Parts: sequence; C-alpha cells; structure tokens
Amino acid sequence: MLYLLSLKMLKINDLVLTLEKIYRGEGVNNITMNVLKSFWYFVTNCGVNSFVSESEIKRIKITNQLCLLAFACYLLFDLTFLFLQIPIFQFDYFITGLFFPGVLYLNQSGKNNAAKLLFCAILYFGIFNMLFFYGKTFETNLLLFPVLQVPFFIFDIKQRKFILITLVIPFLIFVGINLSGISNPAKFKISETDITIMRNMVQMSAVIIFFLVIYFYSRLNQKSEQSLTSMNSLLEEQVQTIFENSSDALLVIDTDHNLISNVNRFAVELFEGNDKEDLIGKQVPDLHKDKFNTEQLIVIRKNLKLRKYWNGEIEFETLKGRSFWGDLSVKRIETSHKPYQLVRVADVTQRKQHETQMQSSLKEKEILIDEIHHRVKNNLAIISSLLHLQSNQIEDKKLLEIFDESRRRIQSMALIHEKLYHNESLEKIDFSDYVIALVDSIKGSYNASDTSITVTTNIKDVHLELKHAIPCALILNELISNSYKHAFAGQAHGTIAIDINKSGSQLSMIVKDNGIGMSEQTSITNSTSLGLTLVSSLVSQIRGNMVHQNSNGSSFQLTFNT
Amino acid sequence: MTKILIVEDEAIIALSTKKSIEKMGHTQVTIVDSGEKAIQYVKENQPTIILMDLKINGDMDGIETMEEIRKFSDVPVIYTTGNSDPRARERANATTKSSFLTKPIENSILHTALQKYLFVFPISFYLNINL
Repeated sequence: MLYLLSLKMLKINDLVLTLEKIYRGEGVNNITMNVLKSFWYFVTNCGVNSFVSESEIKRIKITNQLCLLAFACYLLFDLTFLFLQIPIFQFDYFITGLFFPGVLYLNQSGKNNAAKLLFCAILYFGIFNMLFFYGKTFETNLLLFPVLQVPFFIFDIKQRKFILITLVIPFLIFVGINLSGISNPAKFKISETDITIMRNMVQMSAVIIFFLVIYFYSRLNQKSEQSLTSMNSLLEEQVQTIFENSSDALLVIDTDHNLISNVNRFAVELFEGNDKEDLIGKQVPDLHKDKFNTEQLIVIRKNLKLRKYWNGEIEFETLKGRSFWGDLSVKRIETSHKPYQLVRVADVTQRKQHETQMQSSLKEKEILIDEIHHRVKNNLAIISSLLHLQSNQIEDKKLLEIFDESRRRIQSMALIHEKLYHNESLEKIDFSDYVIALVDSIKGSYNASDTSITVTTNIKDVHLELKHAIPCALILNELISNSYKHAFAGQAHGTIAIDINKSGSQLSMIVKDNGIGMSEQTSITNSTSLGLTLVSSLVSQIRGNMVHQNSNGSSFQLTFNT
Repeated sequence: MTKILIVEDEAIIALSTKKSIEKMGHTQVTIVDSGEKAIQYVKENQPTIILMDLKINGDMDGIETMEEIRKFSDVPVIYTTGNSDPRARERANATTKSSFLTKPIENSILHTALQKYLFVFPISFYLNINL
C-alpha cells in the first residue's frame, strides 16, 4: 500500500520513464534508488502542508522518518524472532508493526499529536512486551533509555503535557515490572545461544537508536540554528531596506557623544549632502536654523525622559544653506544595551506654506466681513441722517413722529451690525449686549417725556444668528417704543421689564410694562398701527408665536425655535 | 461765540449732525473731512469743541489727528464712530477731555454731550471739580 502511495508522489513523466527502463531492463539499480528515494520522500512528507508552522513541519518530518526506521527495526526483530522461533513475538511484533502506517495516516489527517502519541506507544509496547515476557534476560531495558529521548524532539518543548505523559507512563510501567519481578510468566523456554543472539541484537539496537537520537538532535538543532541565522539575516536586510527606503529622513544619534552615527538615503537628499559622511559626526542642532532656547530644551529633555518621545515642527537649514520646515520626531531607543535616539524628519514646508496662506486668506476674509458690517452700519447711519435732514423741513408733529419712528427702526438694525463688527463670531451676536444698547438708544430718543421710565432686563447668555437677530431686534424696538409712547400716559413712573430666556432651541422673549394696558379691541394680527403690523409680520417670518396679555399693564410673549 | 468743528468724511452724516447742532442754537459749525484739514482749522480758528469721527479721509485716523492737535491745543473732543470697537475706545479714552458717541447719534444724546463740554466742563474747571 505504501509502495503504491509512494508512486503517486512520482511525477507522471518519471513514472513513464521508469516503466520504460524496466521494460528495456536498463539501469535497474538507479530505478530502485529512485523508488526508494521517492518512497522516503513520501513518508517524510506525510502531513506536511502550508497550514502548519515551520518548526512543526520539522517535527512531523522527524516523526515520519523515525517511524520508517522503527518499522524497519521491528521488521528485523520480527525476522530474528521467526528465525530463532521465539514464541509470542513472531505474531506480536508483526501485529504491532502494522500500526506504523497508522502514524503516517494520522499525520496525513492533520492529527499530529495523536500520531506522535501512537508512535511513542508502539515503541514502548515493543520494549515492554519483551521486558514483560523475558525480563532482564534480553537486557531490553537498555532500549528504554535512548527511546525515552524521542518525545523531547518529536513534541514541541511547549507541549509539556504530552512530553510528561510519554515519559511518566513508560517510567511507571518500567518500575512496576521491575518491582513486581514478573519475568517470563508464560514460562517460555529459550536456549542460551538464542539469549546471547537476542542480547546482542538489543545491545546493538540500543547503540543504533542512541546514535540515531544524537543524529536527529543535532539535525534538529542544526536546522534551528540555520533557520535562526537565515531569519536574522533576513530581518537585518529588511530593517536595513526599510531604513534606507523610508520616505522620511531618518538619523540615528549616538547619545553618548550626541553625534549623528547613521543616516538614510533620504536624509542625505533632504539635507542636500553628497553622501552619508557629510552628516555622520554632526550634531542635529547644527542642522536647525535657529537654536533651541533653554525652555524648549527643558521641555524636550523632560519628554524624552518621561515618554521617550518628542515631536515638534522646526525650521532646518540644509548643508547648502536652504531653509525648510520639518516635522521632527525624536524617539529614544536601545540596541545592545546602548542608548540611541532615532530622529525622523519629514519635510512639511509645503504644508506650512499652505497653512500660512490659509491663515492670511482667513484674515483677509475676516477683515472683509468686518468692513462689510462697517459699511452696512455706515450706510444705515447715512439713511438715518437723510431722514433726519428731511425731517428738519417738516413742521407737522404727526409727520415728524413718523420720521423719528423710521429712524429708530433703522437704528435698531444698525446696532445689530455694530455688534457684529469686531465680534469674535461673525455668525452670532450676544443678544443681551444688544438689548442694553437698544434700550439706551430708545431711552435717548424719549427722554423729553414727562414720565420717569425704568427698564429692567433679564437675559441669560442668549446668542442669536443674524437671520433671527434682526427680526427680534425690530420686534423688540416696536414693543419697547410702544410702551414708551402709549403705556404710561398720565403716569409719573413706569417700568418696562424685558425677559429673554433660551431653553434648548426654544427662545422666549417677554416685554412687559405696568402701564394702562392695551385696549381689548386692539389685537396684534389685525392692528391698524404700523408698529403692531410689523411685529405680526416679523413673528410669522421667524415662525414664532406671539401671545398678548392685559394684566397690570401689557405683556407680550414671543416664542420661537432658533 | 461757540465754534464747533465736525470732522466727518460722510457728507450726509456730517450735514445731519450740523443741522442738529444748529437747531440747538450754535451757528458756527464747520465741517472738514480729513485730519490734516482739521489740524489746520484748529490752528487758525481755535474751536470750542470738536466732533471727531474715527475713520476719516487722509493718512491719519481721528485719534492720530487728536494726538497731533493735543500738541498745541486742549480743545475738548467728542469722538463719533460707526462701530463700538473696544480697542478704538481704549485708544480714544487715552485722549484728554474726550467723550465717545456711537453713530447714528440721537439728538438728545448729542445735546447732552455738547452741554457737558460747553457749560458744565468750563464751570467744573473753574471750580476745580473733576468730572
């Protein structure tokens, strides 16, 4: 069966050639060698596939090879037993020997540990079988000691459980057989000559197994050493390639002397040197455009000490005197117990330039927006002045009042742009600041009135966008002006309370006075006065809701979502 | 006779302010639009008070103009501006005998400010009271 399987391993062409050669009766020796080689190759590689690790492959191969050698050994012993006509073993060893292909089968099925355990079991069974039936007569115990070494190299050293099982169990059996004194329970008779032959066989086998064990040990170690050396050189080559081909400049600093001890190709290019020697032996600060000050040095040293890392952006100067901005990272490393600093420099000049351009463009835009708000404010002041100049020509008091109202409306809008001018955020304005300024402005235009009016404000951190601020400003202007004009007729004192609150996205604005209140017939929605009509339109513009109440004066509550 | 100088580069605003002041009974109101013209006017006419816009024509702004004027005159000044930039206010406040008004200026506010310098200030100065 094994022979047939081994044939499968030969290439078809080889097989055809081999058959042709056999047919012609040529090179029989070579053919036999080829068959044996391919058979050895097949057995060795049973269960070797890309899913198992390199070290495990080595152990599987050794198990398979040992398995084949042990099978040959068993065959030899069996033939000897047959020749000497020693009972039990003729049949016993033949049956046991049949388990060897089982080891290969288990390896092929991927059950490597089971294969190894079976292999050990077969070996021990052979030894204990002889020990049980013939005791020390054959000196079988000599075989046990080299065989006990086998688990050490067919199992991974980390598989302590398996190694322990395969050592402890045979040891216990050995001790058990020795202590019990069982020897030849079936009382087989064997001649002295046969005993001598068997002893020689066992002794020879023990020596062979001993040398085999040494051979496999050395092969295993040699292979490990070879693979370790090749891995080391591969790793060294990889590290060197990565170091040389890094797209950042890399410099290694010898911290004992604070000098550059190695650089990569890109570092030479970046610092415009001719070769590495131009940079090696220099100090990194020699490449800085401006030297670090004491405070910076303290921070860097502290970071390197605590975090073993420091990063910053520095302006460098190449060996040819060209300046560039570099992103500098310093990392403390240790190789062979010697401290080094690995310095990485990436050219960020372009990014820096973009940043500067963006900052200046942002500044320009800010100035432009500032200027626009200033112009809007100025233009509103001009409109207000034009109305003022026009009103100088008017005698009619009613008409004058209309002009004044219009000027106040313009003023309330101009104030919004004033607050936005030089405001930190050009999107939102601090509405509490605005209301105080608006109230001051309205107060100024009504200060000739006979009533002493106090205005109180309660506004907590309300910031509004321009689209809400202007309608709110105009609504507030109308409501406060309305109270000033109509609420306190005939009263000596009056109070207007402005309460603005924001809860989540909902804003509530209440303007309340303690005046005479609005007549029941007047409503915001169908008022004939321009002021209240404006209020109604502006409320719907901001999708708000306005509630009016007459209780101890007049109260207007506006609510809307910001 | 009270002489009032308005330094303002926006003609309509200047005219509106002039009309308001004239309504208060002051007839000698002059408008100039640059710092250089203002300095020249102050040198030649010694006004009673100046209404100075911060942003005016010429190389100097309102505050720089006043700094030049302060070298030879201590005429009171009311700064007027279209914005309430705190940095500008800080600079303006450094000028002695000065007030700060934001445009558009309400008649009543302008009236109060003028009253302070035309009547109250001279009396307090006479009585040695710090305002």
